[in-house]
Amino acid sequence: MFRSVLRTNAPMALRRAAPIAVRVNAARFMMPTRNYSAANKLTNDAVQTRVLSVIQAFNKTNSVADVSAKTSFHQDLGLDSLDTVELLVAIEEEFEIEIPDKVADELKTVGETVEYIASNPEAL
Amino acid sequence: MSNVLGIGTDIVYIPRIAGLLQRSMTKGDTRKLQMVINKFMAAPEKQKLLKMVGDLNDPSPNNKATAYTAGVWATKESLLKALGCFVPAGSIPPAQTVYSKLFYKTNTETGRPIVHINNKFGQENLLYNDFFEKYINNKVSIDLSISHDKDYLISYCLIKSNAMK
Repeated sequence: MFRSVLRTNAPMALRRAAPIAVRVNAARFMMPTRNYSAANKLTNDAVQTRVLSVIQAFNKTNSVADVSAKTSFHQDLGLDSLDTVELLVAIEEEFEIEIPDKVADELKTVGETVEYIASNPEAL
Repeated sequence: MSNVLGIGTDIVYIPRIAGLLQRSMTKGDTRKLQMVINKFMAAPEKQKLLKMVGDLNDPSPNNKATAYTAGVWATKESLLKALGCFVPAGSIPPAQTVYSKLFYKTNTETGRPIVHINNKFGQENLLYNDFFEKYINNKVSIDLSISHDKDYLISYCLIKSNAMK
């Protein structure tokens, strides 16, 4: 019975398939994708807040009250290369990313780190 | 005429390494520890350290693992400084690449430290193949000395030109 119904309606179903599919796709697949990106798009402010939390949890720094985007890890926070290894791993853990060697060498300030994370689509 | 191309030295306060390992070790889970050592240890060094760490159900670094990690860290830092003596700054690969992919340290049976050059570095890191062929591959050899005193460890290395031997 179902076979005959399907056969009977098949040509009509095919003719109508395209526009319906477009509408269904738009509703079911495109919208959630846009919502997904919107929901997971990390703003610079949100990233900065979390980066500051990571820095604050770091033993070397007592307060982040004076920390801004321009704050340098080495010159302002007094972090050396060994501290930087630990801080980078803490940031990688926080955002579930792996910072490439070259980028790690280039991240000298809080602002540069925030920008890199905010522009990294893998960052959560 | 000297064949020394570069010298480098580094000093480590060992309790800092102990703290780093302690904070990176979780009971039964080496994930964070591996993330940390990936930054400065090559594969043979990582294998050796993980063996030293041993019982992961007791996540406290032993003195041997701490001293080994301190030695590797100081070695890599001194090597990077030595590279800076004869390679233009813009041509040196990122520190983590040098630390974890270019060099690795072992010890002879008598304990003498030896630095090895990963001879596949160029083909494994094509971006830095020019650097490797121009300055490192078959062109240099390395001498390393490490000394400890209680809480401190120091490394000193020489990078020498093979051509001048």
